[in-house]
Amino acid sequence: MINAALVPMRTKFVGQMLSRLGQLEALRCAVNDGREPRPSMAEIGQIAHRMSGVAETLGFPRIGRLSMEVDMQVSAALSAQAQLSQSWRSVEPLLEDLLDEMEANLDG
Amino acid sequence: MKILAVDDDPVFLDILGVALRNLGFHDLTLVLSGDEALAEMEVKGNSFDCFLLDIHMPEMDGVELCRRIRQIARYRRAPIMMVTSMSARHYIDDAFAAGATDYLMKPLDSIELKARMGVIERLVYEQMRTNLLEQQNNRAAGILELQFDLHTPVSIPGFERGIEYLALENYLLTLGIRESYMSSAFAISIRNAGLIFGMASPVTFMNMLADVSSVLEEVLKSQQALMSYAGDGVFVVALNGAGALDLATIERELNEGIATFENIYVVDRLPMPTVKVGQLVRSTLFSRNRASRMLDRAIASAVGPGAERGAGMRRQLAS
Repeated sequence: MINAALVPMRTKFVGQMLSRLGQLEALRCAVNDGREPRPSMAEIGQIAHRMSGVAETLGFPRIGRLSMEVDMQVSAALSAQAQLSQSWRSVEPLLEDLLDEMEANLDG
Repeated sequence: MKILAVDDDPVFLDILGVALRNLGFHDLTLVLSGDEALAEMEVKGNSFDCFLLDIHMPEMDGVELCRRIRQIARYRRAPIMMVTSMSARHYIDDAFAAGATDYLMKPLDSIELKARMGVIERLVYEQMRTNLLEQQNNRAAGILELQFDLHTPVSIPGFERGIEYLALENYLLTLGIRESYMSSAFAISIRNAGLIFGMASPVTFMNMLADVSSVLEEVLKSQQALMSYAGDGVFVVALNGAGALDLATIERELNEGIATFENIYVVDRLPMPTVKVGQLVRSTLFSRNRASRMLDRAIASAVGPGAERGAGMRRQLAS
């Protein structure tokens, strides 16, 4: 149960979820297809970063935790010397879990 | 207290607004970018007491914004709290070096926010007092009204690398969240600070501190270190890691550097400040108490027995 004052923000967050799902799905395909993988991964990281800052506060702790992990993995992957495709292998399963969790919470 | 908060995520900004209002802070300006924040500061009549800045923002990030705020004279000492997530924690060093006072982790924890804002509120109060003293001094136009006691950790004009003592403690605490637990510190004590304070006007004493701090910056220019004036004629230097330092050489270079100001002290009929560098104190940092104790031990090593006089006041400010 969240603070009543946060209800409008929760509604807004849930409202953003569908478009974010679409964005993340498209970006995942772009990385898998080798289309601008670096900027695509960076954008995935940015979306995850935004969600990780608010999801738990708004009553979505699992989305919060998963998006934080995606954010951190992407951040590490983009700054590492290793091949991007190699790093992506550790990001994608987490992203998959995050997308599943977002889908399960689409109706708030 | 008038607060300016900046975050590129409107949802987070709304949450922050709710949390701050719940704590009784109602005078809020919430903006979505560094450019908007700077524009707000330029609005005539707008004056903020403290800032909350998201680190991870597109275009101008929070660290750059922090640096820009510090360049504005009236905000040189205003508390700046960085707001960050785990993925951006590596920027915390840069944020402190740019002049941040403290940091807060996302997602927001209301208990932590309350504690941090309490400290910020006390800092704002302290700085209002300091600003008032400076205004008095400026008004006097040569008639010296600046008043502070020896224990006061005054802000030293021109001490560019110097940060607030509280910010130094906060910096040490950040090392614990970055798998970089080992930290070290040492202190530099002006041995005859008490004597000089007794003989000089407050402004002359302040000038003496400025002389010492400028030499300190020069001697430590190659070190990745943060430093602060702790009051009682003592400077503290904190380092990330436990690397070896030749403190005897640092002490010699400091005293040689200070000696170049000799003529000024002859004219002022004051003794030359002489400094002693204490031992390097190491600690693994997990709590505010341990960070605070490490700094106290560093100070005690430089000053010797009875060195705790100023520490009580500093702890009071930080508690």
